Amino acid sequence: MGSRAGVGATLAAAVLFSSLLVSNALVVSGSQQQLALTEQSNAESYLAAGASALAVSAGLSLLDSLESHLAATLLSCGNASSAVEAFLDGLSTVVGYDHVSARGSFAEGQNESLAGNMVSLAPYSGWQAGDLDINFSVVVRGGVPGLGVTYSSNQSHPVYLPVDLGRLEAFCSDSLEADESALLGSGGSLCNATEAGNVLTAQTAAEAALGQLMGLGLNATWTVSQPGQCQVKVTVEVFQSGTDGPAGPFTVSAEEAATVQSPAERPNGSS
Amino acid sequence: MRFLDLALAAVIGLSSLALMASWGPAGNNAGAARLREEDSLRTDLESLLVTPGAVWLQQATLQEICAKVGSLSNQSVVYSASVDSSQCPLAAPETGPVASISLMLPTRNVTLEAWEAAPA
Repeated sequence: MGSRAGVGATLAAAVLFSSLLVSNALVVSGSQQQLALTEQSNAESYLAAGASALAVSAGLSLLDSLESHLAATLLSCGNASSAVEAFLDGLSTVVGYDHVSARGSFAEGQNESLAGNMVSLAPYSGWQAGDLDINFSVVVRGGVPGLGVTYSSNQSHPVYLPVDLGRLEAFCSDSLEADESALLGSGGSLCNATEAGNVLTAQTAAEAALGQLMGLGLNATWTVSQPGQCQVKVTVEVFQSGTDGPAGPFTVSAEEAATVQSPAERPNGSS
Repeated sequence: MRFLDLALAAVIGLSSLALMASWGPAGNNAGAARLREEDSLRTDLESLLVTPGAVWLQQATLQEICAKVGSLSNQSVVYSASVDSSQCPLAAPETGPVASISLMLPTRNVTLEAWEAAPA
């Protein structure tokens, strides 16, 4: 009897603790699954956050590049808009960090509205009428090796720089025209540097005052040709200074030149 | 014989208890909780990309950034930042998981960090 009781107790202990072990194994297995799911979810959010930061980085990098180009380039008044658009269309960048990479590119902003403001790029997110509107496209790819988690997105966002190239071009050509008209209509001789200079000094001051009202600056220079030619070459430079850019204030400039010659002017009094 | 049976039962019991103690769900649960905490911190950091925003983070000095992220710290979350290799002074020791987001800007790399504040 005693040995039977002993064996029975042993068997009972074995059954009881085996049951406990099986239950524990089930609980551990469940917690392992939960951990795996949480790891996957965490990896997904990690990639998404990284993608967000890199997309912003790419956008800001491109805006900085555009600003640097505008600040360093003396545009031609006749084709400032098209020249900037050509530069814009070739602008792209790649940034990468810790399993995620983003390729961003710029294109001229189209007339139709584009949703999806990237508010992290404020105040340069969205489009503003009259300013340099840009379509910012960014492709982001990423993955966490070992977890089988990947990230992929193609985004488009409207961004802009507060530069009104159309107004710059118009003011420039208008000013040059006004200078030409002033010289031709002054009655003074284009062969006389002093007379030509007086006319242009007065005209330039008037144009500069007008430009100030529009938030634009103006400089004009001129050269009177050698005696016998009676020509004045006028160069007008207009600029938008103190423009707030993502890398700090900057100036956009454009210039145009014209040679003015009175058709009735003949050297040495000849008709 | 009875003594042997009792000893065997005791060995089975003690072994099982030891096995359950060493192989339990606590570690997995703690790991999952830590990951969820990190996820929450990362969401908090993403909001810094909106306010104060990437343009401000590019233009501000390290001191201004440190002051700004420090002012956003609260009883639950401590924020910090580094610009390139310069780190903000640690307002509070790093406890628990640390989440970070990096901005690869043209003129600098800005890394924003967040961790749970130590209980008072």
